[in-house]
Amino acid sequence: MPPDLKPLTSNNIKAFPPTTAPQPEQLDNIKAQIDLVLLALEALTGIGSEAMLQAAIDLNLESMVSDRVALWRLRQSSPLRKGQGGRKKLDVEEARALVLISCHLAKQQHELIRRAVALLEQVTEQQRQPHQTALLGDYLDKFNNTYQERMEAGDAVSPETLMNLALKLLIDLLFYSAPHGFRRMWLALLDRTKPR
Amino acid sequence: MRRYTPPTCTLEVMAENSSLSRWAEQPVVKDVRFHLKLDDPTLAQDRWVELHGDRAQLEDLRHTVNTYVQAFLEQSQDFLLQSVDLVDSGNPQAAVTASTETSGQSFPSDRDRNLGEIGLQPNGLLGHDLSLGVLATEESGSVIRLNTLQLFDLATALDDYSADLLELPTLPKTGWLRGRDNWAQIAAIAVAVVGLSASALKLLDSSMAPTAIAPTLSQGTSSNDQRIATQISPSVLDKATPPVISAEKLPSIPPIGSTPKIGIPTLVAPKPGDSANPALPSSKTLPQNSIATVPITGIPGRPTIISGEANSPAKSNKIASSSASGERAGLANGQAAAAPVAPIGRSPASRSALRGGDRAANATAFDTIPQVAEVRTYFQQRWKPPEGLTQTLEYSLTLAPNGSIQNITPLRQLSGDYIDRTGMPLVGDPFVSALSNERNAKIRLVLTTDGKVQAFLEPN
Repeated sequence: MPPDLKPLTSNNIKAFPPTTAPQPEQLDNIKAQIDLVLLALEALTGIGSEAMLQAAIDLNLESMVSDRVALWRLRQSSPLRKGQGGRKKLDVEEARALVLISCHLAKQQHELIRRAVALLEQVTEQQRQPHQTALLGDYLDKFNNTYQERMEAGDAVSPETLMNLALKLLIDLLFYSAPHGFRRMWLALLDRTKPR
Repeated sequence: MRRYTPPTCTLEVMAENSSLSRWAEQPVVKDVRFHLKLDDPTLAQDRWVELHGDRAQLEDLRHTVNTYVQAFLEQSQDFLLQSVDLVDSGNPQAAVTASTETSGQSFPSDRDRNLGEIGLQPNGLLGHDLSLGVLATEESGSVIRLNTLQLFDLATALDDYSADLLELPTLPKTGWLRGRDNWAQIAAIAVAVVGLSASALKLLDSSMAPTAIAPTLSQGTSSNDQRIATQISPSVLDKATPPVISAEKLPSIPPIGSTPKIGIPTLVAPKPGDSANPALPSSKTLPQNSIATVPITGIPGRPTIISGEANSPAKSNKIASSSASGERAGLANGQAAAAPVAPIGRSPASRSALRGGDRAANATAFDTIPQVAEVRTYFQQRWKPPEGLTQTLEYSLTLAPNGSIQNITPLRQLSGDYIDRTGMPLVGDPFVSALSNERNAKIRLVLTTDGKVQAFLEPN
């Protein structure tokens, strides 16, 4: 059953104390999802690690994401990523920091994200392919290339699957770019009550 | 009434203020109703949909939308879950293709739905069918299709509404008591403010006739008048704002600023929370700046002047009038009324008020003599840059050995123009503590446009 989303007293980080410890498989999921959301942001907007580090500073999260290496390590914890022997741990605080950073950046890029979704709706209505528009075509290409470059199963995934994933993430970004985006993303990550 | 207007819909929430709001700290509302217009500008107007209902229905809608959006977002993880499992087992390709087929199953399946229920179902990746349930009208039909942006905007509006809703607390049990305390304070301040604005208007009126007033300056019989007239720069006289004039006219009256005080006839009681000395303006500030300041020449027990003012409204009206003769008569009254009050003179109380806590709190490297800090403190309590001021103001103040101001030299025209906004005391007033070496001291005073005050000793 999807969660009963009760109104919360505040949208700020304090409303989400890190006492809910996710299960191990949840944490794998969370790591992967966060990395993918950031990947989608990178592919759509062209922002990179500098912007993510700046967001960490803006949000007073430098202690957790202090430099490029730290950021890379956190993202590298995703089980989908290639080139790792063991699983890297990502604790809840770090996950929360990354989610905050993701939503902060999404909020900054809200106009662009909205435009991309509007464009997607338009082409779909016109029964055209997203690739046929510059904005979406670039996004999908970049998403494809970066995914295949970074992810273990990269080459094995069909282009159509990747495209669906990219477009789904684009719409997710729209919701994460709203004022209450952090809450949405965090709850979506934590809720694993439905049967698999 | 709250209005939320994302691009593709308009949500209006109306409520009545409960009469209980009087006793609560914040508004308490009842009879909440909403009006939702799905008015996407990219759609033809005849496709716009209007819905309305009560609070319960709004909550229902909000809950439905939120639940649906969360489920939608979680879908992305189905892909990942499968991928992760199968990557582990060494079969990544199968993982990825399998997962994309499972998406769409996280929503409540088509079940027998109560006709009155509000619900959402996906229709492809970009379509979302909203079953209106009890909200359905003849025009709307029972199901409307939303695209992703419309869904997003609706969710945003409902989120914003729910955030606002939480800021309206329910009436706490003891809340109304605290509310009453605040109310008394707020009422007192409101009365004072009303009084200030009313009198500010009067004072502004009287400043409109500078030529009529200026000649009266020379008619002062006291030698002090002449001294004051020559010390202040001419531009100040030309402006002839009432506080300046009245202060100059009353050199022998405790320059606590009793005359400008008249501009606040309704301030009867000291506000709670003020310092021990009642809030009296310094002689040269305009009323709106002065209500909260402590006078440099603060003599404990000043309330007598306030009540004295309240008792002689006739005087206040005359001082505030723009006629020259009225001015003189009023001043005469002022002199008479204030005479019984102990002359401020060299009262040790005034100096100790300054010496007291101020020094410790305010030391800088410029404080070669303690009076520098005292000057700085004095002005920090008063200086409020007027709007439109774009340059710092600077003055060279000469202190007499007894600590009073002997000379005020505005540096640059602008400083002279604004001198009456600075809270500058009058020449001859006790100002700071007596100088230890029985000689004069020159202190440079700098007032910046962002409210900072600097003071330092000038070489003699």
